[in-house]
Order: sequence, then C-alpha cells, then structure tokens
Amino acid sequence: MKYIFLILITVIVLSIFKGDDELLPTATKWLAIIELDAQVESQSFLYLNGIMAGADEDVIQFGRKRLKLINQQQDPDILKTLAMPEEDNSLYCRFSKADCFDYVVDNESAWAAELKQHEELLTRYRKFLSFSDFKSMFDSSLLIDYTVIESLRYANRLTLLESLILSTEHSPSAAIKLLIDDSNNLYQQFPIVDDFVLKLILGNLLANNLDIIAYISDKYNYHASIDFPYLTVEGRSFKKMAIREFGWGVELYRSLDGNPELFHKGGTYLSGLLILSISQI
Amino acid sequence: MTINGSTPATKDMITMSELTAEQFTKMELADEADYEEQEIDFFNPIGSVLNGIARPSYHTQMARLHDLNGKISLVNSLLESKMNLEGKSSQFSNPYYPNSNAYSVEGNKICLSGPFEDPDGIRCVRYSNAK
Repeated sequence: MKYIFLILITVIVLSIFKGDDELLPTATKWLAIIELDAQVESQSFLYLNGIMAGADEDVIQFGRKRLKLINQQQDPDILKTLAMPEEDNSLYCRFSKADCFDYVVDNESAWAAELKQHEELLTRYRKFLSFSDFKSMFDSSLLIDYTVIESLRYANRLTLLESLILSTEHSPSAAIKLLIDDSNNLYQQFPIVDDFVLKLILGNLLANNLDIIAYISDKYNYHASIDFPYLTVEGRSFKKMAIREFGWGVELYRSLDGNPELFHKGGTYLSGLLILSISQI
Repeated sequence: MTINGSTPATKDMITMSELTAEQFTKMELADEADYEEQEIDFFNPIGSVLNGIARPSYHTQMARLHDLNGKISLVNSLLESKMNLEGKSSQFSNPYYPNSNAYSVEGNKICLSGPFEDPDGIRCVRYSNAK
C-alpha cells in the first residue's frame, strides 16, 4: 500500500512540474514569422554565400553548394575558386589600425592594379547590394561564414580605391558620387538584414565610405549639398536579428526535450531523465 | 515555460535598439553589461537555469549604429562646408547630445562625444583644419 502511495505522490509531483503554460502571444507571433521565413529561399543570401565562385560559375548555385557543405559541417572553402586579395596586403587593412588610412590613401601606385585584378569581386559586391530579399539561411549569427564577410570587406575596399582613382584622375565630384551611390546601396540593406555580424559589418563599410568622402572633400576642398540620410529606426533596429536568435534558442531548448543524455554527463541516464521530467520547455 | 521565459530579454533587446540616441544615452549602461539573471521559477528550475545563462545585451553594438549617425552628421557638415570649429557655431549635431556642442579635436580628426568607447573612430572624421 505504501508503495502505491509513493508512486501516486511521485506522479502528482511530476504532473505539477510538467504542467506547462501556454506559449505567450508574442512568442507565438515570432515563431510564426520564423516558420514563414524558413520557407523562403533568399537569393541575396545565396548570392552572398557564393560571392567567391569561379569567374565562369553561377554565383547562386555556388552559394547553394557552400550552404550544403556548411549544413553538413564540412569546410566550404574547398570550393573557393575566385582569386581573393591576399590577407596580408596592407591595402585591405582596417582603418581602425594605426597608419592604415594613410597607407591606403598614400599608396596611389598600387590602386589601379588591385582594382583590375579583383574587378569581378567588385562587380559581384555591387550585384549583391542590388538584392533586397536578404534572409539568413542559417539559424544563428554564430554560424555566419567569415570568409564571406571578409569578401565583402575586400570588395568595399576596391570601391574606395576606385573612388580614390577617380579623385586623382578625374574629379572629386565623380569620386564622391561613386561613394554616395555605394553608400546608398549599403544603406538599403540595413532594414533588411537579420544577422548581427552582417549588420555591424555593413556599418563598418558605410563608415569607411564616409571616411573617404570626408578625406576627398577635405583634400580637394570640394563641397556639395548632399545630405546623406541618417539611419532610420528600421535601419538601426535589431528586431529581425533578435527574433532569429530567439528562434534558434527555441530550437535549442526543443532539442533538449527528449534527449536526457545531454544532461547525464557526470550522472546517470536516469538523472538526466529526471531533470527533463521537471523541466518545461 | 522556458520559451516564454526567454521572451522578455528578446523584447528588451528590440526596444533598446529602437530608442533614439538621446534616449539610449540616458540608459547609462556599462560597457560590459549583460542581461541580469532571472529569479528561479520553482515549477521550472531547469528553464530558469537555461534562461539565466548570461546573454549579451548587444548595447555596444547598437551604439555603433548611433555612432554611425554621428559620422553621417559630420560628413554632411563637411560636404556642405558648414564645419566651423571656431566659437560654437558648428552646424553638425551629435545624435547623443543634440543640445550641446559635444565634440573634441584629436590630432587631425574631429570626434563626437558618446556614451561608450569608440576604438574604431566611427564618431570621427579627418579634417585638415582640425589641427
């Protein structure tokens, strides 16, 4: 009799613990957005993911191939075929580093050759910025591919070099117009992107453009009433990224449910099961 | 429910990112501030632990976008030739402190003041007359 009583008590206690609340309306809404997004294939994402495809390859198809490898936890760089700028080439240094800015603007003799060598990357960068459907096809910003991010940074530097060439060979107005156009294209991406890393990188690229615009304006005493727009609330908002990370967290929690082995490190399988039995995912 | 428990932090992040620069500054967050740990829910102890794992608030990353608006202000002024560092007639505005002349001259750069460090010089532009 006392065993039956003990079992009954255990069942009641576990039922109390396991009884769960309804999903909050906000969480339900976000999960619906995530589910809807998951059904859409982003051309912009695939194009960016394939930006380093060989010159004669279809960039989007290449992006798909890389995505597949990443999802299979394989190194996607085995496919990299476009000749990318050398990592240690100081023309691609970060402006935040000491002497970098001066090195780039003073190294006039190297600009044209670099631009010629990597003109395909620049063309693709511009094509990428012309898309307006960016949506990450990875679950989390943590999974972003840094090779791709570096490609964007290199390509933006090529735009800066092209502008510097225009400023010396043609006119500061043409040089600034080129950078304003590029900045407008970057600007359009801010409200769209749903990735923390990518948004911050776009911010850096826009800042680089503005630095060179200021440099050219100052150097040539060139002035114009351009009034570049400020980032709007939608442009600054982390909403898309936050919802995406929320969805990733939910997936993570759900993956724990039904997998007590994840909890039994240092204990027994039974202890893992017990932990899960009193958790409400 | 653990999923419900992680909703407030996400909401807070969205709200914070949509504040104006001026409102953002008034939050007075420390450079390394993370979301505070939640209280333990007796009926969902595991969920409390999972949701209590420190997560970044991303406020320094949000600040970079306000910083960028500061740079846009500086560049617009420079392009329009409104940069005047003598007296207090500068035409650029600092999005963080719109009612004050909050900038400094650092070498050949003009830098707007801001609530967080700016190691990448996002709030600065080069200006030869700054010297």
